[in-house]
Amino acid sequence: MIELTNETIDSNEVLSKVQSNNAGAVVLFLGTTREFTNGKQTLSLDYECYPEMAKKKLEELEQQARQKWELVKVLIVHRLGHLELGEASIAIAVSSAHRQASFEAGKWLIDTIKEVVPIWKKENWSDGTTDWVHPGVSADEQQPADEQSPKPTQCKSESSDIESSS
Amino acid sequence: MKISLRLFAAARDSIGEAKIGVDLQDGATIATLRTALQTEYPELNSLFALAMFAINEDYANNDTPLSNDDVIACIPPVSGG
Repeated sequence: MIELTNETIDSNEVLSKVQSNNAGAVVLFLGTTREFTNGKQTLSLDYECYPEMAKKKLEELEQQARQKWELVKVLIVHRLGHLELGEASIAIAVSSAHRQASFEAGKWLIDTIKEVVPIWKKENWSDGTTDWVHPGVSADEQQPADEQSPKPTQCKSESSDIESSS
Repeated sequence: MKISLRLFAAARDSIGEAKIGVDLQDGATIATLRTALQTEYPELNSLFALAMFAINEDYANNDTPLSNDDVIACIPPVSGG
């Protein structure tokens, strides 16, 4: 199951959605907003996505994970919009009969999401500057030209139940 | 032909548009589009060099041909998670 949301991620609710009497293991990964990156101080982050494609890629990754491992339930929630320090930007919860599958699938999902899903974050630094994070792109191309920029694509809160019959 | 290209993140903010039209010769591919963008926006040279492109919400290869009806998007290196 995939959710893109502008709301705070409730980790208890995420966990409750993947628990099952068929599962002997539940693994939860939370990605949270870190204050310091290479000595620079972050005040907050903004996330945006290409909504149609982000949803589609996350659904594909869930299906690939289910092919690689025997999983009972999978829930991936990605937060969008403005996040303060310490808030969770992503929750990945996986349940399985035995723990190895959940640990491996959870790690594979976050590693792969970071490579292929069209979601971007903008660092709002303590010195007032901002940078889009585009790994590998030269630093001076990552700074937005603020004022006249159009609003980011609105990523509406939505969720859909696409759990496969596992 | 003229294709319409969706932009995100630093590409959108730098160019100031969420969608732009790009004139390309018939038979153009993702590689042609990439070169056209690097020529038009030299200040985003490395971003367009490293960006992936999506056609109808799937990643496309450099040699994939483009058509007017495609939904084409520039996907700069991602940073979700």
